Amino acid sequence: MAGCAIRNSIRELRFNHSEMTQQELADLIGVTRQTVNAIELGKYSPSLEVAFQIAAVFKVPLDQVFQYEKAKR
Amino acid sequence: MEMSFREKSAWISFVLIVLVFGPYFWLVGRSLAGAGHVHGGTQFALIALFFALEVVVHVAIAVRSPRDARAPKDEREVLIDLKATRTAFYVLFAGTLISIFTMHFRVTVWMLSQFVLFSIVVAELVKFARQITLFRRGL
Repeated sequence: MAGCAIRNSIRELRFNHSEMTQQELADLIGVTRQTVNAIELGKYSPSLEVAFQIAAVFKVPLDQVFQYEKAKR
Repeated sequence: MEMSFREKSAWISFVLIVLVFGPYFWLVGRSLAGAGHVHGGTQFALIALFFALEVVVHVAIAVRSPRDARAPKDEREVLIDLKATRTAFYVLFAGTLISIFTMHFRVTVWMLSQFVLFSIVVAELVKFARQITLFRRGL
């Protein structure tokens, strides 16, 4: 989608949850470690299902994991 | 970054296609130019060889990382597969049309089969190349 960006706090949330590794998070939500890495780096926007699963793992609301930011033109 | 099982699989298939069909189409090219001859059964033997090598090498990497190999594709991998297959479809579509077009130039059945096989091989190469690119980029 042009002109917008979805940011996330997964790295920070992992760190605050006993320094959970990407592989541990990947196993909990049923994706590969490479997919978690791609999500963290903002290269891949996950489906709603995976987004909610990530929020559920960290026991936080979805908007604490993902933030929508309109890009400045 | 460490490669996932699917990315390794795409690399293996890409390299095997180049190694198995590259020399074959070089020989076919020479044959079409009148500088050699390719036995009719070579085509089927190479296809069988390609599938045999695919199985052997994939089993070898699956043994090294059994958990990754057993895991179903996740949503990103499925999306990468779909995008790559769509790109390959256009290549195969164009190749098929060109193959049909060559029939108006008195080509033999053997030559026509080479054009069709070439279209399939190029389409598969494009598919794996696109998969590798998407895996590297994240998507």
